[in-house]
Amino acid sequence: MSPIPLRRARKSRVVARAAAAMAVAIGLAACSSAAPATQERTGIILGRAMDVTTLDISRSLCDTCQIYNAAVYESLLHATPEGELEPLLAEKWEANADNTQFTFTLRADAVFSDGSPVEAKDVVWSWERLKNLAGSPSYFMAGITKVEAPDARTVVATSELPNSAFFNIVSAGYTGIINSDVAAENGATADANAASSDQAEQWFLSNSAGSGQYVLDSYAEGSQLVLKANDKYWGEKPNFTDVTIKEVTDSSAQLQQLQQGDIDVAMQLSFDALGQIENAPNLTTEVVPSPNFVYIALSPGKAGGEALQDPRVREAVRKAIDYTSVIDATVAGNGEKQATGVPNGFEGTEGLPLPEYDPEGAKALLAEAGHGGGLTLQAVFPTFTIYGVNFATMMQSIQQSLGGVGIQLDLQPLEYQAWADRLGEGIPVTAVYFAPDHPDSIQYFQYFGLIEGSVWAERAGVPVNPQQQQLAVAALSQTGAERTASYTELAKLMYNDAIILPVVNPQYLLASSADVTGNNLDITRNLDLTRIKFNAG
Amino acid sequence: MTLAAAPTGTPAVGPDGPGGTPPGASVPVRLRLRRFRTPSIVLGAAVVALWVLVIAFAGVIAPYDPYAVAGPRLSPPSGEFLLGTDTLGRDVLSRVLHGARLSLPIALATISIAALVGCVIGAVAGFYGGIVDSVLMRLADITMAFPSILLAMAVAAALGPGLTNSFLAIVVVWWPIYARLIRGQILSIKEREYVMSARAIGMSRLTTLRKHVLPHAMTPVLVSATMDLGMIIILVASLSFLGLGALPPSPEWGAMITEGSANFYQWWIAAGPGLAMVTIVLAVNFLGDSLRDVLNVRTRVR
Amino acid sequence: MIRFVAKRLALMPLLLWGIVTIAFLLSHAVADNPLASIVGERNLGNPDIVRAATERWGLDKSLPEQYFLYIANLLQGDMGTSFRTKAPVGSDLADRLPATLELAAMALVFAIVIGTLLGVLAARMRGRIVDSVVRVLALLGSSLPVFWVGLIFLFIFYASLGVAAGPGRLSARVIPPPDATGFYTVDALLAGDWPLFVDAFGHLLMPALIMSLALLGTVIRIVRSQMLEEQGSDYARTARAKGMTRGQVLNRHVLRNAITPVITIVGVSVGLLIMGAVLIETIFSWNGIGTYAVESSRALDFPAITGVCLVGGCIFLVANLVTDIAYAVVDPRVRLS
Repeated sequence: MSPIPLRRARKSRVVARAAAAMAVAIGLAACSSAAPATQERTGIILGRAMDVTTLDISRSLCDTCQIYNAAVYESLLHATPEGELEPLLAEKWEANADNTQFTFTLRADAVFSDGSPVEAKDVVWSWERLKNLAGSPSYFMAGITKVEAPDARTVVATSELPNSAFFNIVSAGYTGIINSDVAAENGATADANAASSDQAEQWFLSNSAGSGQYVLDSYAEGSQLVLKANDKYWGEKPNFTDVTIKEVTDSSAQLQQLQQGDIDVAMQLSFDALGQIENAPNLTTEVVPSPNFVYIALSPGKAGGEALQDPRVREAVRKAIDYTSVIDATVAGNGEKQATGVPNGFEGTEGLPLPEYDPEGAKALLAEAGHGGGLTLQAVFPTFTIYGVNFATMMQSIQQSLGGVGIQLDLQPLEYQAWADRLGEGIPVTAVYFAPDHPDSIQYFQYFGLIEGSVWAERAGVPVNPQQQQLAVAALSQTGAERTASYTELAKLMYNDAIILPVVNPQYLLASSADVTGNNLDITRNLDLTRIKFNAG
Repeated sequence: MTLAAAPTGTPAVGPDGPGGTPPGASVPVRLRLRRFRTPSIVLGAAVVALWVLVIAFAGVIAPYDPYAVAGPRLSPPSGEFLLGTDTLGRDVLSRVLHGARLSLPIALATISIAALVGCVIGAVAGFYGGIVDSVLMRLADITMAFPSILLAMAVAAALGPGLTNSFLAIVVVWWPIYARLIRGQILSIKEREYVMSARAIGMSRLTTLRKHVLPHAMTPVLVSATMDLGMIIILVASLSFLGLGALPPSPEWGAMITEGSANFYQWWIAAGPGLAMVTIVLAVNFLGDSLRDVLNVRTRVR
Repeated sequence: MIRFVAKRLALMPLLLWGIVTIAFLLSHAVADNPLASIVGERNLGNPDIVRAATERWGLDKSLPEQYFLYIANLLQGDMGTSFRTKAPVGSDLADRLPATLELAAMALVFAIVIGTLLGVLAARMRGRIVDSVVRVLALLGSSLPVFWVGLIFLFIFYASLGVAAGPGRLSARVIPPPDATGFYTVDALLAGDWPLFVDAFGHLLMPALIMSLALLGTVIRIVRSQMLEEQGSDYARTARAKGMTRGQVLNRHVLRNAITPVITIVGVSVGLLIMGAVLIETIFSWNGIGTYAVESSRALDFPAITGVCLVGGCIFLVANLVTDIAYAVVDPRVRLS
């Protein structure tokens, strides 16, 4: 070893200078994280993974859109948490005897954010545009042949077939009313060829034209959506001066940011996070039931699903899923089993049998169907986490329990878009979720049942069942107990089809900072901004 | 050429690439090997050897079945589960050990194929020159100007997720590096005396290429491949991390880290595979770095 | 020199055209179609809706037609409209580019500063423990998977210890500075808002440090070997002979010459920085080109994917050209050909 040179201290001048610079830099960083938030708490920050692909209400269909649409626009009716309808822009509504004509009377004092009154012509324009754009939410207007405005405060909608669910349907935020004059000036149109001639989608990314409590302030894709209070709002004053929906892509990031106070509400926490925050004094958590569910869908009529054409095989799949384990693995046990594609508690679900894990029964059924030696199925599913359920985790868990009865599941996760496209070709086994648009059970039968126009009858490649078709048509001309009976009958038939196998009806974890009250999960609004607020003081 | 000026002001690979010794110079094997016995090479090689053993005997060493539920889900590291359990209750350690069977062989295959493809293209370009050279090298320029991860992502997106596809994607991104390397080598060697004389005595171009040029040009390729191996291991894992690689339930390290990122507070899910990756990549880089020093190869700056 | 630059500039359009074509073909070669992001998965079974959307987005045209249309629009500066964000790709990219550049620039600064320090240190302590330690550090830097380090650092320094700023470019309730350069740190200084600068800088620190790790090894290696080379050079020996101390020689002459090659890092590292950006931005919710690239490729958003590749390629080519020129200017020994 050579002796240490004496001039060593002086030689390191450059090094020392640069080191000092680094120290300053690191010091700065330390300061920054210690700096407290100083603003007054009149604005709320919600953390969630935004699934927004458009802010045009008549083209949108997503969970975040539900919040945005309800905050910025208003529908004619509003569904209470109990599923009852109450007035919003309409103060009176009635249907004719055979449920084909619906008359709404608008309230006189409602105004848009530019101060102009909400009139019947706006409703006609908005609903026609919704239908003619042929966009994601156009199905809300399915079967509506005519919308008219006999006078400035009266709207009459006519349906081709009886549709007793129409009032429930128009409580969905997607049917909200747009300021037609303003939107038309900016390229929007409600004409029959709106699908190709409407030019307003981009305008809606930076502007809103509604009568709701808030107006769009700014939207930066992938970063945040900012709403500010509509100072011309005609009704009760909004609870916040501004609402920021911040893009926080996953549960663990939301948890960090909630703990650090960077967000006030974490909207998509997984239940594995619950243990971390349950006892934190500065946070509030509550577990509530949800109307959402995650299901496995079988497509007997599509390539690769041939084995599933035997109902015994489908029944065997239902029996082979170890529900307790899956619910434990995905939502840490905070979920319920569900009979068929209608969530627990909705009209028509009373008395339905819940699926049971019965591997022996499943094996027997498989043997009976000639698959005693085992069976291989391809499962293609989207790679996301929704309502706390990580699909990759869920599918791996299901793969294990199906493996136990000799059904080998080949897993292929795809990004959402690629998966959605693959759905058209048909996927033997897939996993999907459903959240209601409005409080009426008809949406489930029209989506899952073997009836005309049903999304899943088509995807599964299964012919329409005349009995279900007849029941669905009948139900829409009925009301009250009669309709409930039809719905129940339909739900039973759907259960027997074993096309849609709900895996879990997850509960929902409401998590916010402790000074927030009224945090909620709303059927039509996802998060109802009129109910959530900061504690006074 | 896009990278006309090499970082050190000399061509990326010096004309004296392989230590200046002409091929076939007779140095006793024992002496030739001795220079490889530096501490860092020995250390790197030891760690790599350890991982090779793990790959060979993963089934025996792993305490549990990497695919089966072994215990309660999300249990922290303990005597029973040394690296804890994941969201399904599978043993993380067993998955990490089995994951080595994926990461290492795939990276090796990727780099071999990329080097092979690149060498063939580069050799053709360098030896024939002219229009062939221009076309091939412009293609290489375009591929290299493509940010590699974007290209790999685009390829993986086009082919769909899966380890085979991410392997293909990386080969597509990586070949030009070798094509250029070998082309540069060939251009410099082509003019040397022994090559010229081989041609003069009537050896065909191909035979000259095979017998005299390629062997000489291979050393920098091998060193470069060793140095790239670590990067490829990381790139494969990165693609899996972005959801473009391994399919569940395979215990690929990148995919396991994704799972860990979704369960942030259960740090052990991501810690195990990450540490495993660091040890192997570090060891490989040690090897590559030391080999470069020992063989005195000036590779490109990465 | 001028001929060299002219030649390179002339070649650039060709390379960019190649990039655009490859990106276009790759994204359109995807077996799946991107309609789901436009009409939603529910409507993919509805032929009327699918037809309306296909027409509206020009997807009904043949591939060559779409390609020539794209190129024609591109020549007029129109990169198309993103399927996913519904905004022009050009403005999407312009919104996000500063975020990525700010991060990359910071990473580069860290890499050069820390790398030079360690490189000098290693050269000075050649053959001693410090030298070996620095060498291991350099190798470690390029052996760490950035996405993993990002996660671990966030867990330790943000979530557990609370000493570092979290994901994103600014703290939650902080309003961004008025837009001048798009660099939050610069804009904050221009606006004279010191606390805002500190906040933006704090958020930049951790992702930039992690991003710089990959380059660190290269910088250290270059500086160290250059230092050793220059130390043995004639002028250094002359200076020593004229009575300057070793430290003076090092600081005044050797270091300056030794760090010149570091300039090349800028060019060579662009590819690495872009790769780092994709992963780091994903982990740190950094709304830049990287996250845009990931989201676009997930959504099969063809115009956006092609746009990102084009911009990435441009940056790469320009950075390389600028580096070469800068290098030639700084070091006259280099002759560009």
